[in-house]
Amino acid sequence: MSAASLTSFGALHRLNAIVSFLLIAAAWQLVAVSGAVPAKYFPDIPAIASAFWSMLTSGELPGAELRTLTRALTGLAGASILGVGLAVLSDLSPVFRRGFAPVAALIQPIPPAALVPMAVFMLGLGPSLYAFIIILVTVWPPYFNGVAALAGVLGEQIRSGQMMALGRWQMLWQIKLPAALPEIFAGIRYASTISLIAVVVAEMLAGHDGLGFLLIRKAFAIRIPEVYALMFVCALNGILMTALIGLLRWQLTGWHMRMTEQPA
Amino acid sequence: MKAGLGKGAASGLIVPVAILLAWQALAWRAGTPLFPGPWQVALSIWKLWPVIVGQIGYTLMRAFAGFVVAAVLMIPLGILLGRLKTVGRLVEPMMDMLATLPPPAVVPIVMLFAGTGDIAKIVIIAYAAAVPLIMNTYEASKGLHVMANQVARSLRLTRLETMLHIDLPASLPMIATGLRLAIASALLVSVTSEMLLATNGIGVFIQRQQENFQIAGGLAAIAFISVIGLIINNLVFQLEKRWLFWHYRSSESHSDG
Amino acid sequence: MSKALRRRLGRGLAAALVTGLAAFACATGAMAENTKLRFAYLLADSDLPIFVAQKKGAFQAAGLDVELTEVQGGPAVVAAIASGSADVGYAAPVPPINARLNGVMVKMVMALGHEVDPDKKFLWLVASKASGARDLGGLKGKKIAFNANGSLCELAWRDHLAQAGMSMDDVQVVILPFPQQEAALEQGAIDATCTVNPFFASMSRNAEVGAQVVASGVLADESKPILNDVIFAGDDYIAANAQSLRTFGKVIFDARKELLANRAELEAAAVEFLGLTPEAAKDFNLPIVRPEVSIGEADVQPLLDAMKRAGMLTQDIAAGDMVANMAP
Repeated sequence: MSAASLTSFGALHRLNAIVSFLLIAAAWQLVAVSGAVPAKYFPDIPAIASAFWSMLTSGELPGAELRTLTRALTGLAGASILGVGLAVLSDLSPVFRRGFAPVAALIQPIPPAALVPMAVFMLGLGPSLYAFIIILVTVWPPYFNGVAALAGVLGEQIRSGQMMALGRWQMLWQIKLPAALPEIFAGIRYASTISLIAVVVAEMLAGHDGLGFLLIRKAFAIRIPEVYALMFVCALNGILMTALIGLLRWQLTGWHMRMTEQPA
Repeated sequence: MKAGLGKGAASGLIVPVAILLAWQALAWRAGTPLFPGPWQVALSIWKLWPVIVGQIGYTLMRAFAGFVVAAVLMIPLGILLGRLKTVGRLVEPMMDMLATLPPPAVVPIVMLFAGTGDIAKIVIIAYAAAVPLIMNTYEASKGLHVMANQVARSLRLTRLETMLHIDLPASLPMIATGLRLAIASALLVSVTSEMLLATNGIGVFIQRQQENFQIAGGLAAIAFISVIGLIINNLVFQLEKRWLFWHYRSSESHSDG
Repeated sequence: MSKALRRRLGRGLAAALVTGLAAFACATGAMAENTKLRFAYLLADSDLPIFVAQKKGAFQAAGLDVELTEVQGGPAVVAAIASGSADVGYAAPVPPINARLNGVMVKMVMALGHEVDPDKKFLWLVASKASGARDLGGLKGKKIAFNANGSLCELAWRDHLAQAGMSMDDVQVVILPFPQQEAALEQGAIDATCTVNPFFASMSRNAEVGAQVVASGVLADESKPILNDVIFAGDDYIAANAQSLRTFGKVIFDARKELLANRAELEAAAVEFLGLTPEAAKDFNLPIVRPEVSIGEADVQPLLDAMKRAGMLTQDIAAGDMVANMAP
C-alpha cells in the first residue's frame, strides 16, 4: 500500500471523528439549554470543558488516561489472540468445538460484577484481577466472529486449496484465515469497545488509578461536571481505539477494503 | 449434523466436564465459602430455585424488551448506514464513541430522564444490545462485494429493493453473529442494571447473596442466567442453520450448536 | 519434540524459576527493614487520618510500610483479606459480621467511628418536599432508596421503620448509589433516601429537594454509642502480627488527634483526599465520638441485636467471637 493512501485514510478518519464529536457535543448542549433537567445534574458543554481543562492541567487526567488506555490495549491484545486462537482450535478440532461452544454460551452472559468477590479471592487485587475481568467479557466477539468466519469460508476457496494439495496448517494459514480476517476484525473492533468498558468497570470495582477510579472519586465528591468530562474522555477513547484497529486492519486486510471501495 | 450423533455428543462433553472438575478441585483447595465449587453451587440451586425462578422473570422480561427495541431499530439503521456511505462514514465514529461508555456511567444519565423504573432499565439494556447489532450490520452491509451491487444494477432494482433483496440476505450471516452477541449483552446488562438501579430481578438477588457472603447462592442464580443464555443461543443457531443453510452448505458441515 | 527433551526442558525451566524466586526473595528480604501492612478500604470520611498519616510518612517512621488499596463494597474488602491480598481492612461493621457468620474468619480489631444521641449522627433518612412525607409514617407505600444491600443504610431503614410500626414491606425499595440519590429525589424518581456526608450537606442546601430529615442515626435507639466504622483482619493475621496492628492503631490515633485539633488541616485534607470542593469541606466532620480507637463486645452487641430484630440475621449470635481489640 502506498504511504499517500495511508495518510489520506488517517486524515479522513480524523475529520469524520471531529465532526461526529461536535455533533454529539451540540446535541448535549441543546438538551442542557432546554432545561429538561436541572443544570446541576446535566451541566452544559462550557462547564464540562472547563472541568476537563482543570483535570488536564492538574495532571490527574493524563495519568489516568494513560493507565486506562494501556490496560485496554493490553487486554484487547490478549483477548483477541485468545479468542482467535480458540476459534482456530474450534475449526481444527470438532471435539473441542462441540465441547467449548456450550461453555462459551454459558460464560458469555455472566456479568463481571457478579464474579468480583470470587475473583478477588482467587486473584487478589492486582493486575490479574483486571486481566480476568477484561478477558471474561472481551474474548467473545473475536471468538464468535472467528468461528463463524472460518466456517463460512467459501467451498471454492477450500477446494482450490485442496487442489494445490495444501496441508491442514497451510490451508488454515493461506486460505481460511485471510478469508476470515475481515469478519474477525469486525469482532475485534467490537471487542475494543468492550475492553474499554471492562477496564473502566474493573477500575471502578477494585482500583486505585485509571479513569474508572477517577469517575467514582469525582462522583463521590459531587463534582458532576468532572464526571461528565470523564465520560466524554471515555467516548473519545472509543474513536482512538477504532483508529488504531483501523490502521492495523488496513495493514492486514487492505485488499478486502480496496475491493469493497472502502477507505475506512 | 451427520451420523454418529451419540459419539459426537459424548466427545463434546469432555471439555465441559474437564472444566467442572478443575473448578471443583480449585474450590476444594481454597476451602472457603468465598470460593464455592460446582457441588456447592448445585446444592444452592436445589435450595434456592423457587426464589430464583420468581425473580428471573422480571430480569428476562426487561432483557427481552431491551433486545427487541435494539434489534428493531439497529438492523435497518445499520443496513441504511452501510448503503449511504457518506452518512455512514460520518456516523461511524459516533457509534464508536457511544459504544465505549460503561453502563455504570450511563445509568445516572438515563435515570435523570427515565427515573428508576422498568423504562430506565430497558433503555440501558437496549443501548448495550444496540452496539454489536449496529456494528455487525453496518460492517456487513458496507463490506458487500462490489459484484452484488453490479447484479442489483443490472436487475434495475430500486434502492429499497436492493436493500431488501440483496443487502439483507447477504448481511444475514454477520447479523446473526451480531444477534447472538446482542442477546448475551442484553442478559448481562439486565443483571448489571438491576445491581445499579435495583428494585427487583435476579441482579438484586445476586447482590443480596454476595453482601451476605452466600457466594454459592449468587452463582446459583448466575447458572440460571447462563443456561437461559445457552438455550437462546442454541435456538438462534438452529434458526440460523435453517434460514442461512446456503451460507453453511457452501463450506463443510458444522455443528457447534 | 521428543518426550525426553520436553521433560528436560520442563525441569530446566522449573529450576530457573526456583533460582529466580530465591534471588528475588533474598533481595527483598535484605531491603525490608519495616514491616509491610497491606490495607484495603472503602473510601469514607473515617479513612482521612490514615491518608494523612501515610502522606506524612507517619507509618514509615513507626516501622510500618503501609500499602493502601481502595475497593468498592464491603464484600470486596472481606474477599481481599480472606484471599491474602490484603492484611487489614476498613468497612462498616455489617460486612465483617456477615463474613464471620458465613465462615469467613475475620475479627474486628479497632473502631474508627461511632454515633450517639443527641447530635453525633452521621447517617440520615431524608424525604423530599415533593413526597409530602413529614415523618416515617408518611412514607407508607413510597419509594425509598439506600446504597447497597446488607449496608448500614439498610439496617437504618429497617430499624427506624420498625420503630414507627412499619416494615420494608410497607415501602418500595430502590437500591441506588449515594451520588445519584439527590438527583433522584429532585426528579421525583424516589421519595426518600438514606444518605451520608457530603451528600447530606449537598441535599440540605438544595431548595428544590427541600430535604426533610425523618430520622437520623443507624439505630433508632442511640442512647449509648453505636459502632459506625471498623478495622478488621483475619484470625491468623491477628495472632501473628499483634504488634504491627497496635502500631497501626497508634499512628491512626495520633493522626486523628492532630486533625481534630486543627480545623484548617482537616478541611485541606478533605479537599485533597476525598476530592471535596473547599465549600463542601466546610461542613466536613470526622465521625468521632470517642477519642480512642478501642473496640469491645459491648460495641458490637447492639448492632447484632438490631440486625436480628430487622431480620438481617437468622440466628442468635454472641459478639465475643467477632472482636479482638488491638487498639494501642
